[in-house]
Amino acid sequence: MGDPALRSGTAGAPRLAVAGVTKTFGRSTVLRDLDLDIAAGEVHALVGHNGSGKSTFVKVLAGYHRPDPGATGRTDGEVFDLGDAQSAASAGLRFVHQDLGLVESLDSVDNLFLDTPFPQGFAHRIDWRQARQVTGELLGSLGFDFDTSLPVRELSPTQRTALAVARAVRPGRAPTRVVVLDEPTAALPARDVERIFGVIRALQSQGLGVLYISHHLEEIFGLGGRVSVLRDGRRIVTAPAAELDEPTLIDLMVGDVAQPLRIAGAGDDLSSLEPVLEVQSLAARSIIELDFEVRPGEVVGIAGVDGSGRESVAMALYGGINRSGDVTVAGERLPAGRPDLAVEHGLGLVPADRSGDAVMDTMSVTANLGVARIRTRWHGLLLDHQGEDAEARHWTAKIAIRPPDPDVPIGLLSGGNQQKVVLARWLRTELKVLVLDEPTKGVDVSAVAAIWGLVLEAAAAGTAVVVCSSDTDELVACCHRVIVMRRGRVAAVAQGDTLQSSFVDAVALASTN
Amino acid sequence: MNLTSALTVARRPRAISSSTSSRSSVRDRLRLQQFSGVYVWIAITALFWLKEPDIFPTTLTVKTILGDNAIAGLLALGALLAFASGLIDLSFASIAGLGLTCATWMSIHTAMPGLLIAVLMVIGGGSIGVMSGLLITRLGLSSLVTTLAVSTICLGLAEYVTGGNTLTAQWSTGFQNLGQGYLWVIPYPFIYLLVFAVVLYFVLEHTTAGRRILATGSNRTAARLAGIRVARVQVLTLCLSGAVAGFAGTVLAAKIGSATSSTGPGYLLAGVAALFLGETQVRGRVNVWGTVLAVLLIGTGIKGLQLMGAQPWVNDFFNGTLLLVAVGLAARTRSADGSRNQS
Repeated sequence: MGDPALRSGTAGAPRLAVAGVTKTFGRSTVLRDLDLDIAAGEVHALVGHNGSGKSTFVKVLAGYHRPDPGATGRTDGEVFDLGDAQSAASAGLRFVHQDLGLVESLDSVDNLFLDTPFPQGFAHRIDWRQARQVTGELLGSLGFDFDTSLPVRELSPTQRTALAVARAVRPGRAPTRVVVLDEPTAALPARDVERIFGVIRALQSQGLGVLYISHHLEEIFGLGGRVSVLRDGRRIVTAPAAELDEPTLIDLMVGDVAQPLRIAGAGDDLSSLEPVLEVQSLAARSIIELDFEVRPGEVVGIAGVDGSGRESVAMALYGGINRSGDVTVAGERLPAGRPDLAVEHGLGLVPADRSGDAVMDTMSVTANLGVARIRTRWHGLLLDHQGEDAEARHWTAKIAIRPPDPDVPIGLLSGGNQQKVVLARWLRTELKVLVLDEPTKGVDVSAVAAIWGLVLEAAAAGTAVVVCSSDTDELVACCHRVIVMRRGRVAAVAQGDTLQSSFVDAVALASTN
Repeated sequence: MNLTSALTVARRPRAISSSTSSRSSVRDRLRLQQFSGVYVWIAITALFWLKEPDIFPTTLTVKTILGDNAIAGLLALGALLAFASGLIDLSFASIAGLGLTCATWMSIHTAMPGLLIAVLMVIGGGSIGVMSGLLITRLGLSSLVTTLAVSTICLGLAEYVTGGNTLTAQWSTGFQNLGQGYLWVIPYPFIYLLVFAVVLYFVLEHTTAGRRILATGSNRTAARLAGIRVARVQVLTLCLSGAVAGFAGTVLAAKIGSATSSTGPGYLLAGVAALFLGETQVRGRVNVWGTVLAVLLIGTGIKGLQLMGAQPWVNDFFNGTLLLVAVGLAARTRSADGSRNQS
């Protein structure tokens, strides 16, 4: 927490000032000659869509990446070694990452002192009373008061966030000067965002600088302070939030105007077509019984709260997990547990866990794009390098991958760009059924539009689409009908007049209160 | 020149791709790091040459370096195949050892021609690999533990075959020549290594099977969900690794003409060191030529030290140190690369 002597800063020097930050990975430049400063007591928001370099910048500040030579960093006018984790910590930079980094099985006190010595009493015995008191006071100063003896897994997401902030600014190390909050509200319910704002104001009142990173533009305006916009690794502009409005900010972030979301015609008459996907008595994990069918060109949404079965539908359909019941594609029954046969029958899956289930992060964009139904020549034995490269160039241009170099390992791309590659992996094949699980989770506004644009384009070309998502609004906007699941079964099907978020949410939540 | 400091970090993984478009000067500069092993190799060769001008720069040295390391190289390439599919294979050296003792035993106690014995050893080694592969993929066991157990079983069997003695082989002159002969200064076993390296390179970089192997090694779950039959791929790579080990064991039998149960397992560390050092060279991920280069580098280093009067223990000491350097470099390559998302 702020050392009183440090509150005013030294001779008006900014809390944090970095200049000339460039970062290249191989041939791709992710940050270009970036500079940024944060005054004492200021909230400085950093915005930019996926791939703009926000996360890389944070990692440079934290010392996880070393910037290219020529970059300088100062806190309160003192130079520190930018790109060195130790040096960043002793310069007073503190980070609250999106995943918070808490140990769920330990309580708040343990988490708070995870990497610093506990207060000690006689014979180096841990002074639990004092430790608990310090924890309580820290949380109190951020406006929180909850039972610190509960394991973290029993805390609400907002309480966890507060705990992570408290840990970042706790005493016992070099004095805190700047707190970097990376997407602190991503996992929070909308009504709790105000409480995190309270935390930020508490930090401000202690004279700390706050760097705030978020996809949610309304939060940026709610916080005030200055806003810096990153695009393609450059700082496009820094301006007080009060002088900007949302359309301006989006224009600055995107450069060109974002592709508008095309709404699937709810009026399309597909009923005359034979269903291409038929699901009968499907059961797997939390799914007890599920029946539905999808026609070519139809986009069917699966909604439901976590635990309703929605989260298992995509994997169960595809055969990625054990299941019982019948899944039939174009009249042919798919055996369970055989994704290879699913692919052969024209199914494609965009899984929810991108890094765990979809991306081979050491392999190039080209290889990732081409991995399903690999392009071959000479009786399927040899790789068709030319064909693969041409295809990769075509798709990187078509779906606007940043950086536009299909040779880079896909692990170096942002989440949104990786997701586009995973989607294109299937779109390049002759697909009968496309199954998507949380396709836009953790993806920024412009990539969301691009992903839905591609999905709807595939549907228009005759692919049957099943989308499982916890984002009701996107389902309602883009699907012909939405199957709402509750406790492992179909609770309702929203279509026509009932195809509305309010109806879907009401049904999904009905029996869980 | 200090070996550890001279081995600079290899460039970031240049993942699989094949484009042949024009390369920037950046890439040309990176070649310095990509091929750091080559420069180190030249440096230590020069060093030994200057220090021991009478005994180092001789055809005999070339012959022994190539001959001694052909077996380790073959084994490392077999293990590389398993490693590329995401498995750690620690059984290759003991399978080779079992091949060595069985082949030698057969040369004494049966009338089978050497080539037939070689074929049997290849099949036997492959079968052991399949067995490990099935245990790993069907039962979901760890490849490290499974191959370590299989390795120990093979060692036990080799001890049973030798009965604790040194067996002296009775090969026909023709077969013996396949292990001991030379093409100019190049020993035949090293030619086998080169042939296998070319084949393996082609398979990994230019065939569908190779792509499937690398995809499985990069992310097994993702590869499975993309339609690759990952269990089959992994059983296949272990089978090939075992088959190569069986072959290497037979070549060793022909080359040295005698067998003890401890000869084969002695190749474990050299093979693993070459595999990991190879990972830092040429491509920044497991690759055939990096491994061949690493084998030569290790072999030259050991030979030079021996000629300068080093004691036999230097062998293991050098291998162990080099393995640490290699995994250290590989880890640094990965972190310098910053393999996570940018934004």
